[in-house]
Amino acid sequence: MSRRKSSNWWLNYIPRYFIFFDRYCAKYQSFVDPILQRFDREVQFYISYLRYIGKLQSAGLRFCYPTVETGTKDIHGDAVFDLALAAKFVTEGAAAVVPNDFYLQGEERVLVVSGPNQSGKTTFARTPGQLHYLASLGCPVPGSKARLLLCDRILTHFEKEETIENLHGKLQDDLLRIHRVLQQATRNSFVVINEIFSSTALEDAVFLATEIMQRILTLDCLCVCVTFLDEVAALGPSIASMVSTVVPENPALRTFKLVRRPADGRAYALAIAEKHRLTYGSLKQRLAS
Amino acid sequence: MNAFLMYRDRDFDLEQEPPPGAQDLVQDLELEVLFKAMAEGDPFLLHVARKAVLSLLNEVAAVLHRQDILRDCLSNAAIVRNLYTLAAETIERERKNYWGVHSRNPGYVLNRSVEVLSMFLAVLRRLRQVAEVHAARFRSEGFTMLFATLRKELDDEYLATVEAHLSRLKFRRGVLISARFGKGNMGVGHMLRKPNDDDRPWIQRFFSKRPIAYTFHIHERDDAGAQAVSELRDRGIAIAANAVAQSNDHILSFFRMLRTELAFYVGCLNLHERLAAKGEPTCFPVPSPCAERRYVVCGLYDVCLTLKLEHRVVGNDADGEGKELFMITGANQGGKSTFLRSVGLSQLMMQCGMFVPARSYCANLCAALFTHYKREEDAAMQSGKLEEELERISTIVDRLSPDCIVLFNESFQSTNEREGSEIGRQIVQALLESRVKVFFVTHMYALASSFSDEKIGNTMFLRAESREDGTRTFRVIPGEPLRTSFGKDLYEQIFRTSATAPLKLPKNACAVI
Repeated sequence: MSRRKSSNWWLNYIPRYFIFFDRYCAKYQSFVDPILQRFDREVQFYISYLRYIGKLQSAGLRFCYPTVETGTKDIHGDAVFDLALAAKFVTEGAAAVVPNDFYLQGEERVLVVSGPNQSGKTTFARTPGQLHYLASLGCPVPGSKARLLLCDRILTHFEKEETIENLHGKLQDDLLRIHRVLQQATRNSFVVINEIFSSTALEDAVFLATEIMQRILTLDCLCVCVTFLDEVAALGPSIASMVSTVVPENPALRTFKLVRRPADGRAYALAIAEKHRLTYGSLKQRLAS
Repeated sequence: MNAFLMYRDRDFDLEQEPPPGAQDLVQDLELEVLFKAMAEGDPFLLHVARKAVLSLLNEVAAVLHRQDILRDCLSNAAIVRNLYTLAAETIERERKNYWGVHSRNPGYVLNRSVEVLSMFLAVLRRLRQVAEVHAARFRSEGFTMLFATLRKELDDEYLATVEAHLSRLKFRRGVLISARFGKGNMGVGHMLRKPNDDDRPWIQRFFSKRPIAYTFHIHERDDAGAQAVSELRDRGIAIAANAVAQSNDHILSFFRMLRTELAFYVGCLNLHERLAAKGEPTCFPVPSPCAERRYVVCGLYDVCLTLKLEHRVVGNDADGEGKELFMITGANQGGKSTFLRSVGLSQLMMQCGMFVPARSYCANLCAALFTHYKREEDAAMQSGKLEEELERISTIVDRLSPDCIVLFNESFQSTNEREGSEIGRQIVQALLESRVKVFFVTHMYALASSFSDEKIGNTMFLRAESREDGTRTFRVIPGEPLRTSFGKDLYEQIFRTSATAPLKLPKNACAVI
């Protein structure tokens, strides 16, 4: 009896607060510091973004932290590129990414992009939109240097694929969508418009595009607009015209490089026609012989 | 002896290559439908129809020559079909008679040739009979000439001579061969001789003594001897055998030609019967020379479309006297392409001497007909499509000469309207100035109107008709291209009125665009 007592004798000497600690420990076993927790969760965003662009950077593409403006609308981007295309380039080994430059200064508000089909117009149109979006998230943006507007909204209007049978429905749909876009836009918004009215009769397309451009200019928001209508590119000093270029010797070969110069949409198709010796002058020669 | 039913002065060449661009013509104008209707299951008719329709006549006289013959055919359909069957059967029988052994044995060749020639002779007799009985019912130069030739060259005397030769060539009474001595007294220069006909009365012949002659007998078992004698015989008749075989070939080639040339007209008869059964009108076109510019048609319809449909199709009128450019615009599925096809088809039919699917038709002939249609493939590769279109027009330009006709169907629409119109305008202008007649179906207002604004060429504007309520009549009527104001209306509605208000569309919205 005494021996048993003596074997547990030390229990009497355990301080009572150990029991308290034991219970405390059991109670707060799963405690995480809320700040740490938040850090852990939020840092994921940065890590995954950095990991994502890390792959692109190791493929030789450059990223930079943009200067974000609120007052001025002088923006520019040097050697910017489309993130989606770049990712495709890295993972699937698609065609090389061609970086482009753009800028808007002074009273310029709208970049009008024209040029031949499949020459990188749409890809380019996506890029400033992406830049502004990523910049507003505080992320480094694809490009070597960028100064961007902190915009309240980024609105897009892309053409939806449709057939000629329901052309009427398509035009109506186009107009309704662009109307919605313009209703939401403020003077600090960024609007991307891609190839609207391309299937509409030319006269209508010019009229509609001009009207919509006027509204955008009145709004004083920033805009990138891809179009084949030269008239839009020449609407006023607020519009900067960019043209996607082709190899001069072979107009069918695209460079995917966009340069700032007045729109010359017709020159391109005629260049192809000239390559086949099908312009008026060449034809006259051919038919005379 | 020639048939001369296709051309006044030469035979129809069945082996000729189709003109360049024929493949496009067949595809774009759906010519196979026409060919099949003409052939009605006869592969030979199909072959001839293909060749004949695609090889255009460029002279008014040549077209009229065939038209006259075709008129005769239409009023004497049964006789013409009989003649065709006769020629076809004869050729067939000749072919069957040939056993396929390429025997060089003159005896065999001669036997066969004589047999075939006898058969030919019987047919030639029947041909002459037809010529004699029905000649009066045929008025055209072609048939008159053919029947006159038949009567002249196959007269009784000629037929009797041929018959006499044939009976002699059967050698019932043996072969008379002469030869002379050659080196070492070998027989050389074997020659078949015409036996001297014994003109004594048979009773005298019967009782008189035979003239003395040296003979020899060959023993029944002496194969070598028999062979030697038959070789001797062959040597003698070789020339005769060749001659008969050659004359057979001549006669055969006449039958072949007759069959080929009649085949075209039988094809026309087949087509005419199909159209007549449906109640579709046909008429003989009035051709004018290539250099003129005429296009006055009434009730012109698409012959291939009507062949495919149960009911009759809509005809169109156009008065394009002196016009060089025909701009056809208007609603989708409004009959533009059908009209263009009917233009191409009737031009081809006129220029091969056929009737045309219209109530009346007067047009100039052309040096060649080309089509440039929108192709379906490569729909995804937009840029490649423009290139492809331009390449095709470039090959056409290489083949163009003045007074050609080019049919464009929705060309240059693979790029946007601005670029397409500009390319189209330059090409059409250059073509017009090089005296090429152009039919252009397009949606592009900018292109169509550039020719009304600038007054280039002598343009006729046609438009697919669509009624107020948007229904299509499938008729093409004269009319300037329509500038659509539909986009503007829609814009006003969406932007000027409040966005919540329900959208009211113009009634004929669908029809305009």
